[in-house]
Amino acid sequence: MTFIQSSLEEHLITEEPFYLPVGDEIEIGVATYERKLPLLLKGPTGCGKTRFMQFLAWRLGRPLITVSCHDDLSTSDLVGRYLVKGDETIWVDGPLTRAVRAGGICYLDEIVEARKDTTVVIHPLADDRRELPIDKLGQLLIAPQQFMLGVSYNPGYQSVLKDLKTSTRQRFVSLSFSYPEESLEARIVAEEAGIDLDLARRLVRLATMSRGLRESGLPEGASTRLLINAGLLIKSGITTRTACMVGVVESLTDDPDLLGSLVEMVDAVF
Amino acid sequence: MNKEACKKLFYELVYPSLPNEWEVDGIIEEIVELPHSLREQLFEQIPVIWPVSNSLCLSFLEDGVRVIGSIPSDLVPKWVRAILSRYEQQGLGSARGLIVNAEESFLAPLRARNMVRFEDISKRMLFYIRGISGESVDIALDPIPYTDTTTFYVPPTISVMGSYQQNQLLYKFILTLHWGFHFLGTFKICADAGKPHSVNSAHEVGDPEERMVLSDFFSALESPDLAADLFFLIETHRVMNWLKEDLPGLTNEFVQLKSELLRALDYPELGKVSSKLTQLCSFLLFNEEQPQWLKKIKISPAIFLAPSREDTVPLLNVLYEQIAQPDELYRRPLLLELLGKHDFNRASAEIERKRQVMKETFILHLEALKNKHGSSSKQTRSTGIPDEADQAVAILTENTAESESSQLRQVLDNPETELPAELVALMEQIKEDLGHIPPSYFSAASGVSGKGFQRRGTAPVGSEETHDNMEGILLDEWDYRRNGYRKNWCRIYERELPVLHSTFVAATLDKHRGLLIKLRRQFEFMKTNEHFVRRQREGDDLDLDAIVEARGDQRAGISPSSKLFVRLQRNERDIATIFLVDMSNSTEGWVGTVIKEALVLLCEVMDVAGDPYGILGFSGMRRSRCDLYRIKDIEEPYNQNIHQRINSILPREYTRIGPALRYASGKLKSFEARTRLLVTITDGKPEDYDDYKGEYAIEDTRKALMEARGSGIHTFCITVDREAHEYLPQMFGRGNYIFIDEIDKLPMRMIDMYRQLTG
Repeated sequence: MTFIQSSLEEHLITEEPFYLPVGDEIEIGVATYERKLPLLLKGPTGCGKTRFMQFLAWRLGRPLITVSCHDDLSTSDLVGRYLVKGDETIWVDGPLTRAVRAGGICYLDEIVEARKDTTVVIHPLADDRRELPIDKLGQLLIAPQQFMLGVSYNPGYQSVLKDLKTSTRQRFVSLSFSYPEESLEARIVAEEAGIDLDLARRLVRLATMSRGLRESGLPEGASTRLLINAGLLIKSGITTRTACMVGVVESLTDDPDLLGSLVEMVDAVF
Repeated sequence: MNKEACKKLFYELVYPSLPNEWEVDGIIEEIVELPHSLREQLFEQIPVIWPVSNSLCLSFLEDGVRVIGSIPSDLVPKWVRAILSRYEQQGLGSARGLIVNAEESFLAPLRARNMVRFEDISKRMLFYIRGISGESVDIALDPIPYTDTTTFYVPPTISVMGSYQQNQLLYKFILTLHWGFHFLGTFKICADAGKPHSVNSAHEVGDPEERMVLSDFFSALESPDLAADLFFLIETHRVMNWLKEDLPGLTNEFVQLKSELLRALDYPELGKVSSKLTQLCSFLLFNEEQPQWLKKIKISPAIFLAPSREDTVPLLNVLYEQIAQPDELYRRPLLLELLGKHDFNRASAEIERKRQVMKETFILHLEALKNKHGSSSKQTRSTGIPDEADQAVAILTENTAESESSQLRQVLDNPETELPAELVALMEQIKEDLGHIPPSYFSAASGVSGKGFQRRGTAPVGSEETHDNMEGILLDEWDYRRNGYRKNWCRIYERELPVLHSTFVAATLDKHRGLLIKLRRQFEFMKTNEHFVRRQREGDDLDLDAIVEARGDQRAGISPSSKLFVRLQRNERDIATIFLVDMSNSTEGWVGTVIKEALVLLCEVMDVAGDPYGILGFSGMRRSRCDLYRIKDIEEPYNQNIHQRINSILPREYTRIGPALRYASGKLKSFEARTRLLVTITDGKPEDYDDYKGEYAIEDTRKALMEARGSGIHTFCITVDREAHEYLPQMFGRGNYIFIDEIDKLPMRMIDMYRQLTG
């Protein structure tokens, strides 16, 4: 067995990702990078956090290494470990270490999903020390100017067991994301799914309605991502109604009453 | 088509049979007279019936000529199938009965079958209208649909249309239509008292007493009902025009019902007035041809193409003059009866009520803002280095009420001022409603806040009430005005609840048996939430990753880790919860009952989950007696005693929530658990008999919750209320509460919430 690590160049985003700024988040992102500060993105699912990070990486011309956090993620998964290869042992950098060494951007997606003891490893990296101790190598990596740490989480309906530690939270510049206002969101959906603006507007109207059901038991309304999915299905020739059903409605809830009302909304909008 | 052509077509359809001409002639003569579409519908059925029975087919044509007009086109095949099966089962005579009496023997039973009861679709429709409107509106029943802008009234059943789906669509359309009235400002159109023919559609705030509600404007006319209906029709047209853009799917579906709806709701012998109105309905709502009499009046076509709110009353005046007949009794067309009416009195009262709530909340926010800026500017002065933002607000504290209102305005307009998100949203709402924030709002705020001015009872009077013999616990209370605590201010007594025997718990368990099985299973799953933990010193299996890593470390000359095992961990949950239940007298009635039911269900499922939990009830009167009733201690097992205590939860006195929160969090802190959760269930604003109310009570509650959070307790609140919404985010913090406006949902939502919070 051989260990092949993808080269960092593969993480370099060469084509400009589509991103429509809602406010001054790009300027803030760039300033944060220049000031060597870490960045925290929070917002509901599918509202463009990851896309923003990709855009920022492209804009800064740095490779973006994304880690999707889960509760089995260990510190070695982030920092790196020794592996045995044939008769020798080799050290393999984890994604965080690679990003630090290469001066890339390390993006920990949904950081609250990781165990709290794992996320503590980023603390020295996320303050003015900007260092990453690698105990096993006996090294202390100092992050270069180009390195940036980004994390994201969804503050919505979260379990009390999955909250961000205050000590972690208070190291970051925090950008709050939410769904863009209707006309902007329609442009995003139209552009991403390649559908016409009028159809995109209707999809957004549907999403706005579903977001109005939050007080009625729907934990989260339709995200921009779901709308794009529905748009893509329509683009492939699926009828609008079916696309909305499978692409939006069914993905939102299993509650029969909520489902019924969402179907009524689809029928009313299209 | 002439008679010969018609006959030729008939012979073609029945070929190769050749019925006698004398049999056919009479029938054909009548068929020729039919409109083209109806004739086609009849002829289409000939190939279906003729092969089964020639005489039945001839009867179908002979009698069908008279009834085909009353049968919706899409139901004709169904009707024919019914005729054929009747023929096959009971012979020609009976089958003819189905043709001649189509209305009674075919359509009426069908309608009864296709009747939609609102209760069957109520939830779906409620969520639909909430989604459409984005507001937490409600639906109630009334024979004629209308809205007061918060509650939408719909008839208990609809059976006008031939199919269930169509009747359901009518419900949906009616709801959307009435939401449209509210959204497009129909209820904000008011007549000018001085000039009854002019109307002021501007956003008025003045005294509602002085404003002429449209119903009064109609009453001044000779036929108020006609005027009201004309107004309703014009506004319906305006709303439909908007719906065409906004919800084209719904509009298309509704317009497809046109012919059937008009037919079903038509009745003969209409007077001139009503028939003109019916024509107007067809024209305005279904884009039928413009009636001749209307063409003669000079009305700009733009009014019909793109109607605006300003056009409604002028158009109403023109149409009213054309249609009204002094000596004729006006009968309301059935279509309008189905679509509903406007109730201006209720709508304006409700709008006024909502404005009042918004105004009060706005003033509360302004006060808070002023106090905040007031104290910060004082600090600035003491340090002697005022910064720019503070300078803008510093003036606030040192002036009289009159000039304050304009300065408050400046603070709000100053881009440097950081406003709370709730206030910004509220200002948007007010501006949307009234067009601007009225000066009276500012003067009210400056008049009631600040030094020297007192509002709704300020400093709680420290009247010394008698304590009973029990030794209570003294707790501090937060006073936001002094920005500090009142030491040992509240006396807390923890009490036992008297034991009451009743079948309440058993009845509740019985009532929700099905739900309980489901919930137990979910909680069972939560309990046995087992997973493998890796890198353990001992365990059931080897952790291959860890071994490889250790081996690698060893080879690299580093001492390898000894954590090389995986272990199956059964329950990592270490969560202790206290549920704090409001027992104030406002929970009297079924709010209290449902809270009790919710507690019974909760206890049942918590027992399954195995998480330790306690339940405390609170109520009391004045600061000298804050009673906390022990319903279940954290470690107490769930048993008959708890049943009895839940039984005896009764509405008692007031809601002084702060001390209860402090006491409960103290209790929770002393319990060893990794995660501690404090869930409060209440039904409204905190309030006590003394001056614990308004801003003071909200701020104290907020502070108590912040203290709890500060000591590592997660707080969550469940509010059962319709009105409390405005201050909830301020008091509980965004995302830290749910708000239940349908009490029936409480048991389910409460348990769901616990599962989500701790899952």
